[in-house]
Amino acid sequence: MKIINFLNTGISRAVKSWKGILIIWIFSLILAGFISFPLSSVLKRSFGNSMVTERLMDGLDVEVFADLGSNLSAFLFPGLFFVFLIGFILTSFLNGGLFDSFREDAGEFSVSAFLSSGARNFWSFLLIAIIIRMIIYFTGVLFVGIPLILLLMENSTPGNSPLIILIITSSLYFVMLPVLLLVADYARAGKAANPGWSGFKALGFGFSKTFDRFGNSYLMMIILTLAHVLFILLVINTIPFWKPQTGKGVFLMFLITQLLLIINLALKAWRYASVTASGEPYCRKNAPVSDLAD
Amino acid sequence: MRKNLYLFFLIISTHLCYPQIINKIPLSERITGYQIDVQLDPVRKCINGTLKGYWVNKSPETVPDIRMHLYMNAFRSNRSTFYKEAGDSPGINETDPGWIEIFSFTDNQNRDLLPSMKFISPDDGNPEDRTVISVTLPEPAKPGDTVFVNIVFETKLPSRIIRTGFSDDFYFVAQWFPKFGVYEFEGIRYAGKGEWNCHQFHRNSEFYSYHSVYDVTITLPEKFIVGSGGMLISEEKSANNTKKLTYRAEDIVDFAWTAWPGYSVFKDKWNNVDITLLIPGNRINQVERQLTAVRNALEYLDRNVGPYPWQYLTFVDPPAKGGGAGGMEYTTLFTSSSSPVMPPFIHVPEMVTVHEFGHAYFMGILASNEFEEPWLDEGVNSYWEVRMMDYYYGSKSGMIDHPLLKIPDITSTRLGYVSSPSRQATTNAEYSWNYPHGTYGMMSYQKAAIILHTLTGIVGEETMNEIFREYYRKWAFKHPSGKDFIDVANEVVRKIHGDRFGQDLNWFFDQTLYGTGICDYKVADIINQKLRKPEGRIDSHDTLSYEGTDTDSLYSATVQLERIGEVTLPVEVLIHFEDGTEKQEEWDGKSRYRDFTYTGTAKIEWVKIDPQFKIKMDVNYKNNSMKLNPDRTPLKRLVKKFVAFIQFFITLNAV
Repeated sequence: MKIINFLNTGISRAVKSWKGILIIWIFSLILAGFISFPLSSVLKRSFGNSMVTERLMDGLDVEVFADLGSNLSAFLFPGLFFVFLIGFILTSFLNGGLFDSFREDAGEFSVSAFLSSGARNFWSFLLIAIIIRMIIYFTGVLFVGIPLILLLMENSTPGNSPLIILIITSSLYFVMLPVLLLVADYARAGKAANPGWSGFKALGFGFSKTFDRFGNSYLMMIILTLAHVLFILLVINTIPFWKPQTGKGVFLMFLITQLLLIINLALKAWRYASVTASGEPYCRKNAPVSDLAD
Repeated sequence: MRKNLYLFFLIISTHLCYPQIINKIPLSERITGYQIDVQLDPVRKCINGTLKGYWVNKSPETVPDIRMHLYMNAFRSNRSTFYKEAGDSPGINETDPGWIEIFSFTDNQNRDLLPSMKFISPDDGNPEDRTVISVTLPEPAKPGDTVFVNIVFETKLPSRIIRTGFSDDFYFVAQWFPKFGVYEFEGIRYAGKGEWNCHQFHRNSEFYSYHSVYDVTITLPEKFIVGSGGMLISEEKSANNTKKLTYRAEDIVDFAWTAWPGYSVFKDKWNNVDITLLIPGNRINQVERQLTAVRNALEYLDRNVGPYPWQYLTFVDPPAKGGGAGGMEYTTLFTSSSSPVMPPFIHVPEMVTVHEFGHAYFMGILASNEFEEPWLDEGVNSYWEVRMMDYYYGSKSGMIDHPLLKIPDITSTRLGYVSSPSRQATTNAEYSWNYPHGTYGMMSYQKAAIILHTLTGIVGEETMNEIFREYYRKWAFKHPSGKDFIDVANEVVRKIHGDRFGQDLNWFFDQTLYGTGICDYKVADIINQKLRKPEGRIDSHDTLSYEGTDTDSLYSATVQLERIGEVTLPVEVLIHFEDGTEKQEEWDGKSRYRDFTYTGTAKIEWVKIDPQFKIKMDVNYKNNSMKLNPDRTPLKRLVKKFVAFIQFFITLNAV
């Protein structure tokens, strides 16, 4: 019952902060533009009046792009790295504003407050994001990568034990992921409520909060993650296969992908807001971590 | 008469020594034969035994010596030619190197030939290389003579498997016994006077052998599961938990075998061919796709080239620890490569299987010299691999068949050639170890295959099939050269097409196979010029004054084509007018520039050179077409999807 309440609160707070969601969407679009505009121009210039692009009507054709030689890759890979790096930093900044707007006592959403709290929380949020991302990568290598390599290196074992090990460890990994997300979300919610905390202090809070109320919050996170994963699966199984053949069709596809992106951000905001709500009450601002037990 | 009597007894004795028990009629001349009896020592990783072999001097000349390959000595040290070329080492531990030692070498009169045995290095003069021996015969072999040799030898397998070697309890035993070179004389390939063709073992090289008869007995611990290029004749238990396996193989160019306790064995059949697959136990999920692939290859080559003449076929998917043995061919035995988690939409295991099986034809049956003309086996075989993969697994999905990405084998092969920065480094006339800039693979496999696919585009697929059928009929179980293949192509194309492609196809092969040029045709421009009705008058100064009118709708429409590359090939040109009419032109492709001009009421809308992409050698498809107002929808769609991908990635990556 509590879980449903938290989820409901999460929805109402996410809806209340819709402007924050739109701000993140706009920033993501601008950032994507940093690479898509030059890409578009490179492609137009490289293909010129060639009709070989007709071969792309049915989908990707590596032979078409291979003819571009190193023109494309020389620009694309550094560009992607730059955009992903900036994107990671920028989302850490914007999440600072978003988490702050989800607080119980946040009041009406204002863009200036959103941005100023983003700035205030930036370094801590960046640290939390980096550490949690590192843990996710490291455990991914440990629980999925290494067993997979062992499976590939395995020569012949009756009963396929390396495969069973891989299935078990991968399952463990996917069971563990929501825990890491909870840690990150509680840490950021705690930090948003307590601007004086350092990133490490917030992270410590995130861990303790996660395991304090593990049963409820884990189940809630499973529901939220599942909803998000199902949505992403829906996107993965539709958009890449959609091949509009006209300019209007392409524009419609663009609009729909942007709508889906906004829904994706809303689902994420729902998660952040629900976790924030489930962790309340947070301690007074600037209170020590020891005061946080509820 | 005495000579004939001698020959008669020789043939009888040869056949008594090497009883013919598989094929009633020999497929080949069987100029060499081997009886090998060995034991595998799993502790020392050695194979000890004896070899009785013969070589018949079929040449019209008296031959003073014999030459044999001792391939395994390539793994003896980092000073062998093989490792010098590789810039590597066989390893420094005692168990790492591989070698072959000959303890005794006698003829059939028990004369010791060891003192007259010497290591030679005909290719590079490397005194440290011991991969070829020359043995001076006590009496030179006269035409028709048979030289018998008895050899006691020991082969140590290397630990770093490059085609051959061991890893733990896995063994792949290839290039493991003293093997005769090929004595070439006038009429065989390019030979003028008779001489041994017996090259050293090179890093970038394969082999060249006679079709031979093999009777091989292997004694090894019972726990091993064994696969070989021969038919299992008998299996007996021996002392100390060992077993003795006897194999017979006829008319194959090499005999290799593998032993490992971890193999699972699967059997299948295609027509009268018994198929055996040895595969690690954890790859059971790969069995059906592997067997399907080999059945496909058998069917396709049987239909389009010629019959598979043996009644059996064994192929091996080596375990991960023996991965270095994967992707190699020994005619009736070949190795593939897969993994337990290979997704079904990636057809790499099928490609390797189809390719390696294809070698049963291209150097197995048609035993070309892989040292000197690697394109003739690898290139020709890659050509057929592409055809088979794209036929059975989809013309757009021969290699990758995922809803989001489809790649045919022809594309991956073509890209291997066109995207290589060294594609003009040399011609295909090089010996395999002489290819510069690491171009051996690209030149021998991809470029040669793409040349043949280009030829297919020009003469048609059925003509190509007929060329290969004739090549098979003429050269099966012989030693064809590149020239022999081209002669067949010339003959067949002339027979089918008359002089449509000229007197012969030498113009094609000289440019492509034996030239370094590239092929690149380009649409340079489309010009639609409105014609003005001539209206004029002679003025008082006798000069022509001209007044135009633009009410006419006549156009002079021109397409300007350009040949950028050096290679000249006939190409089709498709011109599309704005009223929907189309015109197909033939361009011999010889001149640097070529214009096609039309006068009519419609403007040219677009033009395509080689609209069906038949000329696979064209290194740039991008410039093969031009449209005045190209449809950019596919590009726009791609960019929009890319934008969404970046946005999703950014927002999802941020925890």
